[in-house]
Amino acid sequence: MDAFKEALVEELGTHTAFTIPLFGGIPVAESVVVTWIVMAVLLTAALLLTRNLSVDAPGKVQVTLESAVQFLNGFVRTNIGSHWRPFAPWLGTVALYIGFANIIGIFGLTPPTKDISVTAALALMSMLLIYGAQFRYNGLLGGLKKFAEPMPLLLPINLMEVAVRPLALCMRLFGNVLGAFIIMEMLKFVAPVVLPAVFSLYFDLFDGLIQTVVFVFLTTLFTGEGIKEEEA
Amino acid sequence: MLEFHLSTIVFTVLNLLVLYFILRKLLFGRVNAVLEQRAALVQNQLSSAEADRRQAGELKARYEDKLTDARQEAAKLVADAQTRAQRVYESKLAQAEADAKRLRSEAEAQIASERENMLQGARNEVASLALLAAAKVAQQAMDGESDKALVDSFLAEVGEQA
Amino acid sequence: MSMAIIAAAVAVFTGIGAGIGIGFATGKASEAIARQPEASGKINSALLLGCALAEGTAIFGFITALLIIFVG
Repeated sequence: MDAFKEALVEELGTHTAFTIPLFGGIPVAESVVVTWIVMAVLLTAALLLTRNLSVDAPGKVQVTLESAVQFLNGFVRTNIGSHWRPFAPWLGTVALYIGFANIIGIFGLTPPTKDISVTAALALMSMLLIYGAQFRYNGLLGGLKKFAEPMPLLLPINLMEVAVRPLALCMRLFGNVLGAFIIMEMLKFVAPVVLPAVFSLYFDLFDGLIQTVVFVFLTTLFTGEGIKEEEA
Repeated sequence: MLEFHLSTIVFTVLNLLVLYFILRKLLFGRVNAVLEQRAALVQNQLSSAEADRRQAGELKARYEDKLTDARQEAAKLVADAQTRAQRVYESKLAQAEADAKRLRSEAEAQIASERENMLQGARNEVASLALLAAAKVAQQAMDGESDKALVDSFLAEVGEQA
Repeated sequence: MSMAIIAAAVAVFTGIGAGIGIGFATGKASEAIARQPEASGKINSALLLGCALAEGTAIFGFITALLIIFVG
């Protein structure tokens, strides 16, 4: 049992891949390196898929790509409203990144989203997006007024949400991926042959994609909440 | 396990921003551009089809106008020709009638004068015969002016009775 | 150590609440979809939001348990 715990702790720790010898050494975590791999994959895929797009005679790949982008655009438009345009690429990027990061465990790499710093960064960006949009589209006063909606009594709760929302986003993603990871490690420890492959399908693929959807959906919903009602 | 590393957070934020800019330019930008171009193309084609349709409608209306014009003109031409023919016919008819009337009156006048002449001749003949007969009866010549006048008056009397 | 493990086990019991909550939400969502199948898109998004929020409690409990075991 102690050996298992030692192994688990060893697996759970965030490893430093290497250290940049600048300013007294900047540690580069393993999750950052995996993020770079994910970025490289996404970049190559984007370059390959958008190589020769045509307006009048789209191929099968292009049709799939277009319907995916259209789905994203429609989703963002229904949830954010008429100011949807600048948000769609960011949300699409986050969705692609989290999706790939979550399912990369299938290929034997450590998911970057298992590192709480990564999910914290994602949640931080979401918070900036949510409240940045709120102030950007309502003005300074309008943005402040949004905190007193639907009634001024809820002001403390709304202010608390500023901290709670990103914390919940961060912890949800991290906890899910970590929980799946721990269960997978336990399974590998108990039955190292067939069982992990089956469960990996659920925990890595299904749960990873669900969490991606939840993260992007919540970010979109909160952003839309901050700016949408002004137009209605 | 649960410690936040500032360097990792900063790296992740930078990574996300870089990924965002690259994907926005390469993936979403390109695909959205294609989508917008296609929407514009479809819109163009729709509007041009609409314009074509309207133009065709205008052309059709114009042709129909022209067709009715031509038909009316043809009808007018036919009517004109008919009235002209009618007029010519009527004038010809009137002339023919006038001619006939003139011929007839001439003929009548001629007949009347001939009859007059004939009557005059016959009367002279009768008068001379009567004179002859009277001379025979009176055994003397009755050729004086007074005798002739007498016979004439008698004949006139007879003629009135006849 | 054993106290810590018991504490962690208690912390993980938050999962019960989340499970019940998500179960209720999904059941109601199924009913709603059965009643109004054309509104299934909106119902699904509301369900997803609710499940994500309910699941948050379970995640917080789970993380608390991990903290108790590995950090505390």
